[in-house]
Amino acid sequence: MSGRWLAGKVAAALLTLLFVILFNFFLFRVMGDPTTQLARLPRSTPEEIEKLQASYGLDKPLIGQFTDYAGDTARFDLGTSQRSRRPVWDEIVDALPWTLILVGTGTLIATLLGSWMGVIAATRRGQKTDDGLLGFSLFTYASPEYWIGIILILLFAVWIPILPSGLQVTPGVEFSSVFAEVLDVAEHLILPATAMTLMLLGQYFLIMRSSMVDVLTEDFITVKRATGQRWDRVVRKHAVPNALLPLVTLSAIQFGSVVGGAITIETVFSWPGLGELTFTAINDKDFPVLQGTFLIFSFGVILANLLADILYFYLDPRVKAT
Amino acid sequence: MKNLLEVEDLRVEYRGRPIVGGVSFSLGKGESLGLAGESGCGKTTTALSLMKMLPDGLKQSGGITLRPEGLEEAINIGKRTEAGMQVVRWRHVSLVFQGAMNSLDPVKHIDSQIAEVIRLHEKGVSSGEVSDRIADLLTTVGLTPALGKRYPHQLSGGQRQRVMIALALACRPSLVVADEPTTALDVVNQAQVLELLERLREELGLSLILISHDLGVLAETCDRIAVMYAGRIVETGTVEAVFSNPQHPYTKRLLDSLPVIGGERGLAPPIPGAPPDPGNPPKGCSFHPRCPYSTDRCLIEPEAREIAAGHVAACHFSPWASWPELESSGLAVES
Repeated sequence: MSGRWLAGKVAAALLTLLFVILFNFFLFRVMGDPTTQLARLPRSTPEEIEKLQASYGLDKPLIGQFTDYAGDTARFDLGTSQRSRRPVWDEIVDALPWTLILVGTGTLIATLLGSWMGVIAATRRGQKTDDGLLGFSLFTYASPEYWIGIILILLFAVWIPILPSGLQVTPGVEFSSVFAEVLDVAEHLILPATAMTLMLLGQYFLIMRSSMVDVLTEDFITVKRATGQRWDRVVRKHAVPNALLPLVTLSAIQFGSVVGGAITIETVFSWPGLGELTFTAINDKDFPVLQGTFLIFSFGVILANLLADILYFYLDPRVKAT
Repeated sequence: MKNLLEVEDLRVEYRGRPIVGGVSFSLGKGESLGLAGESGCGKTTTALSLMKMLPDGLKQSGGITLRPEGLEEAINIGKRTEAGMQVVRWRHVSLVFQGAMNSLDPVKHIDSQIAEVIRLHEKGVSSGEVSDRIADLLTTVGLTPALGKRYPHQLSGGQRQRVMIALALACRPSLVVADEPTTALDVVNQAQVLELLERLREELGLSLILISHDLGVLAETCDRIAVMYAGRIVETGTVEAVFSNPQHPYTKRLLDSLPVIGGERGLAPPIPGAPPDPGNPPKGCSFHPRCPYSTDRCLIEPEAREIAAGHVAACHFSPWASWPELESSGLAVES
């Protein structure tokens, strides 16, 4: 990999991040003075409100506020949660692993399953299998993820009560071993991860299917078949590696909607991740926490795009030429 | 000596409609046959059916027999199953495809694409032997072996077509089918690739089926030529015989459309009309609606008749002693 190429991509990512920090700052200033929300109690005196404003640095001019904010952000100081009185950074660090587990599991399964289904459908184009997969994917793609979540709870936690309806781990239980704890978490993960998978599956399937249909009409596929390879080998060795390319881009772009999905799915399943943290922060008008989670989400999307660029570099030799 | 390839009454149908309607030809060892004709006349379909590679929905019938040297029994391609064809493809018949740009997998090195076919057909070759053969093949087609480390997009169109030819020779087949091998190339590369094919045929004793709409290309490279129209061969013979003494009005009109260097400046007279819909061919001779010499007799399908030794035409009026003068419909170009 050429260093210059990588440096350019990283610089572009950093520039985007810088813009996000700038935007994030003004977004929360445009929404109004947070202290008026907090100090809506009729008995608060103007002095108290002023004191409150000073504690958030809101008495300073905008430029001063921004340099404070930028400096704090650079030191990973994202402020203090108004609800829990804990540093926002700590709240995020606590919630992040849970989101990563959920989003990671869902994305992994959706990518593998979706692309596999896409290959199956594209090689059986126009047949019943293709129609069935297409119908199923369009249905899950069109259904809101929180609705899928509620249906899953209804099916597998209420009607057939075999899985927990929420939380990440059974509360108040002393686990005999780490293994037992992992098993318990895994059990709690099944339903939200299924909802996440179903939310993402349709798009991965549709992109992979159309990408495969395109690749299969290429001349080199005919040539590879003419070389005497079995058809399934041609598909596996030549069609799939070429068809995977658009999927990489999609996974990165998808990351934005994954974040949105995480908020609703985590809320439905009371999964203590960043999504739920965001949701409670919105309800509590907990601005510092919101500002922090926005930043982390944006960072995640930017990082995902950077990784996709780098992955593309390895997958498609033509990228190196440009 | 028996012919390398015998094709007898090859028919291809799509939903009961004939796409190729009874094509027969043969090809000797080391011989090259040109298939000429307009787009959509069934040239590529014929080529693909030689490897049993027609797209779903197209049904082929008729006899195709291949007798590669050193093989006891003839290969009856017409009766082979898909699995049976997989050992024949590339080992005995290989294909140089028309799209020089897209005939190679864009995400694989040249070397690995050639190595793949060698390993596929020859079990137990050492990797040293494979890389030696790749280097040999690339040298044979006039490329430096170092190019094997590259990806297809890093090569020019001419280089890619040479790689494609190297790939086609990788398993030392006895027959190479080249479908418009020079169409996507510029004139200089066209000439070089044709020269290469010609040289390889002489050196390796290959038999070649060259498909082109370009009569000039065929004249340069082939021993014999078969002119196709609407899914049939309307005339076949040696290149000299067909070019100097065409015996089918379609061949005649095709040849007339070639510009003559030093000749009159102007656009060649076009053949009026369009090729027939293969699903709905005209009654009788399929060329008669476009033929300036057609009469009522042409409503009856003409038999292919031998006019001279090895020169066959499917026209009621052949042999034509001379061609009646036609009113020129050529468009003069102001100079």
